[in-house]
Amino acid sequence: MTGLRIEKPGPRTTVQDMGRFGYQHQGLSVGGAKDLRAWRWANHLLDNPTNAACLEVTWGGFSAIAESCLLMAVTGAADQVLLNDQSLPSWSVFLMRPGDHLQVSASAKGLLTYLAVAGGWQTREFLGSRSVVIREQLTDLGNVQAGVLIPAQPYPQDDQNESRLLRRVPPAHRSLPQSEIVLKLMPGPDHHRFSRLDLARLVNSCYRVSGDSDSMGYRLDGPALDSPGGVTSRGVSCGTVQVPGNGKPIVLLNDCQTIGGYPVIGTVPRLDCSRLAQCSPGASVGFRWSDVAECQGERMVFEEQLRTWTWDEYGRLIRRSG
Amino acid sequence: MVSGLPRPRIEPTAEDAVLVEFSEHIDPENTALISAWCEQIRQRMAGWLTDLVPSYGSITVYYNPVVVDFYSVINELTAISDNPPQPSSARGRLIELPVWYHPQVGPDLESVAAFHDTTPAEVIRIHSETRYQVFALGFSPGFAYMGLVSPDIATPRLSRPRLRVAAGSVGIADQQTAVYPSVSPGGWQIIGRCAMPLFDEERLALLEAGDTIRFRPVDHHEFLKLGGDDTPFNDQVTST
Repeated sequence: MTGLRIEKPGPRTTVQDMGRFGYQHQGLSVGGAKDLRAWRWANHLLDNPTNAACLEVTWGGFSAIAESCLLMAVTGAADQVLLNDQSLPSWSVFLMRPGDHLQVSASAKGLLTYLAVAGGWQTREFLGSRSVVIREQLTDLGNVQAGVLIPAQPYPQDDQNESRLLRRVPPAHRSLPQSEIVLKLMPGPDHHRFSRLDLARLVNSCYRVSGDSDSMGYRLDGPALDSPGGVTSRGVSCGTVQVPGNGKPIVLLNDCQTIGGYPVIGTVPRLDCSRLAQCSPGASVGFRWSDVAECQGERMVFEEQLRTWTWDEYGRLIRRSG
Repeated sequence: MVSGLPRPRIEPTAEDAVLVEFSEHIDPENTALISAWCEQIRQRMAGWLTDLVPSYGSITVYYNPVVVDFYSVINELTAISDNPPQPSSARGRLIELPVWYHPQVGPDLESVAAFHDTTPAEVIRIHSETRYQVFALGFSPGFAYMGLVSPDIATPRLSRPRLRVAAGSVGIADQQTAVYPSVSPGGWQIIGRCAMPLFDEERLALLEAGDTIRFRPVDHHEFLKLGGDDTPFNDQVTST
C-alpha cells in the first residue's frame, strides 16, 4: 500500500471531506472540514475532486513519514510546516518522496492545518463520506492514531514536469489570521423571544472563546443574555447559535447533534464558522446582524470563484476560459 | 384554511436551511402530518435536498445552496403549504421492542417506582402498555425520542448524568422515553434493556420519525434468546 505513515497524530487529527449528508434524520452528524475555505483550496491546489478527503490537523503536534511518492498541498494554519526540517511555503503544493518527514507544529495564527493529497486520502468511506465524527464511534472512523498508514493513490516518482508544484494560493484568498473576528449572524427561529436589549447586547459586546469548546460547538464567555427558556427540539446545524440557561451563547460547529432544545437566537454562515473554528480559547469574537441573502450571497461568490478559477502552467491563478 | 390543518411558519434558518414549523410544543397529533410533509418534500425537492430532519413539531429542510437559492426553496414549501398533504395514520410502522425490565440492567427501575410511590411491576406495566410515537432521531446515531410517557411514571432526568450508559438501555426523561443505541453519556432514568440493536452500520437506524413503538416485557431467558446482552449495568456517575 502507498500513503503516509503517521508518527505522531498530535492532540487531534481526523480525515475530513465535506461531511456526511442525507442521514441527519437517523441521528448522524454531518461532520466535515471545519475550515471550509482552507479545505476547499487544499483540494483545488491539486485539481482534486471537490469532495476529496484531507487530513485536518488540530493544534499541530503532528508528524508523518511518506511510504511512497505523494503530491500534497497544505493550507489553513500553515506557517509551522516542515518538510525534512525545511519550512514549506503556506498554501502551496509539495512533493514527498519515500522516507521524507513532514511535521506540523502548533501555529499562533490558527488551530487547523489541512493536508491534501492528489486524488484524496483513501480511508474508509461510510454513507458517501470519509468524514470522522469521533463521538459516533463508527468503525475505522476515529482519530488518526500513531503508526497507521493513511492510504493514497501512488504518484509517479520521476515526474519532473509537475506544474502543480508551482501553485500558491494568492494571499487575498486565504483565510487570514485575525486576532479579533466579527461573525455575521442571521436571525434564528427564536430571535423574537429575546428582548430588544439582548438583541442589541449580542452585537455590541465582545465575547471570548471559552476553554471548554470542542468540535461540537464553541462556547463563548461574555455578557450573559436572558435566555427565554427551553424550546421543543428542532433541527440544528453548523453555525446555529444557542443560548442555554446561563445566557452564554454557544456556536455549534460541524460535529454538533442534529436536533437541539435551547433557544436559537441566530445562525452564523458557514464561511464565518470557518474563521471561528481557527480560533483558540481566549480569542475575541463579536457579532453583527446580517440576513440570509447576504450569507447565501457570500457563499455563492466563494463557490463560483472555485468553480471558475484554475491554474496556468506557471502556477498562477487564472479564470477558466470558456 | 380549507383543510383545517395547521399552516406552518416557513423561515430560512441558515444559508442552506429552511425551517417548517407546525407547533412549538410536543403534540403527538402532528407526527402523521409531519411524515406526510416529509414525503412531499422528498418527492418535490429531490434535486436540491441534502438532508431532511423531522422533529417534534417541525421539519428542517437542508438544501444545496449552490444549486438553488432560498427564495426558490421557500416558494416550493409555500406551494406545499397552500395545498397540504393529508396526514395518514396508516403510514407509520408499528414496531415491537423486546425489553428485559430488571434492576441488573435497569439501575433506576426501583427509584422510578419509589418516586411515584408504586412498585417496579407497576412501572413495567404502565411503560409497556403505552404506545409511543417516534418524534425525532438525534443525540447519537439511531437514538429515537419517543413519547408520551404516562404522567404516572414520568420522571425527571438524573441530577447527575452518568458518564457511561450501557448500549440498549431503556430510559425515561419526563414524558419521553428512548433506547440508547450505543454506549454514551446520559442522564435518563434507566429501567431496562432492549434486546434489539437500534443502530448498526449495515442496516442503519431501526426506527424513524413517525413510527409507533410498543415495548414488550420479556424475561431473562427470552432476552438472552433474542440476543440481548445481560452484562450488569456498570454504574459510573460523574462527579459534577
